[in-house]
Amino acid sequence: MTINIDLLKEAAQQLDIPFTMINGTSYFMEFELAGKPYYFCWGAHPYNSSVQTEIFKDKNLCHELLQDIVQMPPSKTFYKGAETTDEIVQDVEARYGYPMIVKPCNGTLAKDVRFCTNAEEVKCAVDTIFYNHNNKSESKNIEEELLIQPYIDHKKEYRMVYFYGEIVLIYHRDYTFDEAGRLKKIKIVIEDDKALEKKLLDFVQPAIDLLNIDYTGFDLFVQHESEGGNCFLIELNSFPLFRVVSEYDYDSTIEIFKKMLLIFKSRVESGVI
Amino acid sequence: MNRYIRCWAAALEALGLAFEILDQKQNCLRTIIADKPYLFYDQALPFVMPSISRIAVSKDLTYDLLHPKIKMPQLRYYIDFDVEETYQEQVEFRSYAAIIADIEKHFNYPIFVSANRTQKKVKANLCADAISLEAELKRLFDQKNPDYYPLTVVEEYLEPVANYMLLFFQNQLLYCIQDQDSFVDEKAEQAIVELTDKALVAKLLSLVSPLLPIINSDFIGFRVSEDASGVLYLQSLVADLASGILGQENSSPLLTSISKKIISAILVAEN
Repeated sequence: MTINIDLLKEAAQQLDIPFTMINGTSYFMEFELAGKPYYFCWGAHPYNSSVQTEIFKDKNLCHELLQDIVQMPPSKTFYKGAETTDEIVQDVEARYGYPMIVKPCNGTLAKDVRFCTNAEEVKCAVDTIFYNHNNKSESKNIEEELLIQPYIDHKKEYRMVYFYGEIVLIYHRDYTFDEAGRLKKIKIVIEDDKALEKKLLDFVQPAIDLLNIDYTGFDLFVQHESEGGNCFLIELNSFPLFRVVSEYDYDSTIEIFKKMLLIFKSRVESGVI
Repeated sequence: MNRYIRCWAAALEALGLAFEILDQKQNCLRTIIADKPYLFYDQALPFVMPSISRIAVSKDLTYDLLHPKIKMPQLRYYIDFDVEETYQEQVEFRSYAAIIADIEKHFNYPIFVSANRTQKKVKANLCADAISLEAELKRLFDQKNPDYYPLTVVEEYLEPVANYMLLFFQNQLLYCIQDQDSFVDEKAEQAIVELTDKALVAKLLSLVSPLLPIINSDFIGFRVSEDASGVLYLQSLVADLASGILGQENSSPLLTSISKKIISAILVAEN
């Protein structure tokens, strides 16, 4: 879980930018830039503010704030105890049909996200999120809200990392679901396509403007051309984790961290931050 | 509209500034102050970096950063040995007996034991012996507990006789007030009392002012306690508007005043 810190350390070392590990920990790091300290701890960073962090954490709120300005999949939120699991199943079956995606509103790292093709799978996914039924919850947290969306057939799913006006990374990921409906990643491919970058950046720009975003990982779908080739925003990530992309291409990931560190350093030193 | 947003809205209205509410629950407010957009959500503040917020809500990180600079209760932290896989590499002690042995090596009873977060109202329980300590650790590491958190902190017992909170914006003192007892979460609301004893305020300021450049945050607060012998020590940081006495229902006039002072400071700085 210290992967982002490990990558940042390597980037800083390559750039000869000094840093300190606070109290000898492996997860708490300080840079002194323009005479002021900036901290990184676990996944947390000095970009954006705590307001964006709180908003991005809540998938239901993000959907409400952004659905009218950026295309997003339909979504229905359920609150623990407000309906029985059977009532939730009946509601979403009538609303969307199968397949569908069930996920906790405040989840991270795709924990307890399930691809469901029938009522039994939806029941199991709901009970896992709300009640940690049969101790199946991957996060081991009891959640109070979950959301259910229809599965949108898409050509490609992208993670796009936005940082102070620039796209520093786009990759697409191919995956399937295992027998329990859990995401099973197959491979990722880093994209170097300026037209794609522009298309996706233009697509998310209204969200960036509304929420004053300096840094986030956008999760996006692009439909097949036969379906219209439309973009969909799935969610925003406050603390994008670079574990998977660094396993795929470590050197490129270090270059991304170097780029981000230099952009941030330059903005601090020029007084923009 | 929640209390925190209501206070920002009242402050903006009083200063003649427009704003819009973005969501149905009315917890998210957007405004322009001195030509710059600001977003407010619930108790979170746009003047606090996410890493500062994380430090403030995590007793272990606050202690790691600040205990070399200011007196704080001695603190050690322990990870649930049955934590999810991604954190297993951080686990040092793999049984209750091993955790208790380490605690007894570093502390004398009684000790405070709590989940490692100051954000939610977490009550630190006082454990007087190994039996009560083991029971408390088992309660905190019970993954069926809705308040489960995988990191527990153990703190030296320093009994406070008085508690204070100092709030700063851009290194200027906003308020110095009496705070709640940090270890109690079920008390009746206390009156909000601003400190008027200039000597005491000066003493508190001289204690925490050296920390401001270490933290480097536009908004930050300090919860400071005083023991029976008059020694002051840092309990925790404040990086939102729900910590300590600010979280009480009767704090709305204070929160509105804080909001006005912050907005005014931005307007003055930008003009």
